[in-house]
Amino acid sequence: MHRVIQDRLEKILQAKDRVTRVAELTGVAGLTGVTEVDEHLSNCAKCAREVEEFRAQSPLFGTLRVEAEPSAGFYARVLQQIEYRARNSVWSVFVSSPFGRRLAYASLAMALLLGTYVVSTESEDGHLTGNVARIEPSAPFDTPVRGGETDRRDTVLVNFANYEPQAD
Amino acid sequence: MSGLSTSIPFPLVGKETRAKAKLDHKTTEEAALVRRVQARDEIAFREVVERFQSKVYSIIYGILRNRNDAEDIAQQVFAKIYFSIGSFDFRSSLLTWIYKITVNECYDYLRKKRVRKLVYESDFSAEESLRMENSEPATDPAPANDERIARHDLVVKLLEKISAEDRSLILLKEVEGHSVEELSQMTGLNENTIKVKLFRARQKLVKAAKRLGYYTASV
Repeated sequence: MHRVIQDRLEKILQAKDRVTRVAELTGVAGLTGVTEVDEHLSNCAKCAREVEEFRAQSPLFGTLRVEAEPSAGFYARVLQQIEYRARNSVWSVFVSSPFGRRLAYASLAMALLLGTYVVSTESEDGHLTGNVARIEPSAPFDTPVRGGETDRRDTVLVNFANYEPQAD
Repeated sequence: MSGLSTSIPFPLVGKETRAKAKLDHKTTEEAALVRRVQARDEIAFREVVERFQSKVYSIIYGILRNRNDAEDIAQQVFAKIYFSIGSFDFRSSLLTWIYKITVNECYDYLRKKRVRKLVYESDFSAEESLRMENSEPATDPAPANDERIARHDLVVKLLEKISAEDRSLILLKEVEGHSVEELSQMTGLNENTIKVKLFRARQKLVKAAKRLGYYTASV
């Protein structure tokens, strides 16, 4: 669809006939706008067809237009619905039903057990003990490098592992 | 419905709409009411229900055409409003927000109903399903002409094909009769955005209607 029509489409659709279209569009684009729209629609078959297709939808929407009132006592029923939903919310499952309560207690107990295990496996200096392997230095880092090829390599590795920068 | 237009700051109609002052939804009387509901003030909530119940019920009944269903969905809409009013961000008017929730609830209901029907019917033979379909009253037994019912069913089906946002926008335009200027004020979107959204929604509806053979009969 061309811009000249697309920009004014809602006004064009609102108008039942050309006279109404003049009235509708005057406020927006002036009479030149109306002429422009009219001329374009009579020369551009594609835009004219699309406008007609859009206009043909209007009677369909009319079938949804009704004025109706809920029956008396509607507010009370809304409150009941709210109470019902509040009772059946996710958290209330854990609070109200016996199974939910048991499930909540079991989860809590499991969390406590896990917490206790983590705390008990932690040593005072903050390092994990238990199954975690620990590299113990077998010699101070400044051990002189001596012996054969293998010994010397081991000593260098131990020195690296135990190296601590000296405070000045 | 009657009290609605007098109590809600509805967008202005006619010449006055040309004054395009952007409405700040945070400072209106309606915003004060919403804040009270957010603070769980029951009197304020009751006021919201009383203001919008006719509108909400009419929208639902317009789509579902069944009084019992409309009543149930309307209750669900207000329960939803109660629980999710905390997320209302004042970018649009309260009516627009409620309208969107209402239309969404209707389409959720229709979708669930269709799924339930499919599951239920899968347990029966083709002959039994056909018999049930013919005996099931789709709408209230009020006398209405077949063409109107067919058009109603078609538009409900077509509206399923577009997004929830476009759906409520096109309904506000076509069913409620709001202008682009009013929609802009109600939604907080600018007028060009509204026009583009409406145009695209209309195109999708035309495409869907063509697939269902509507235009061969009417245009």
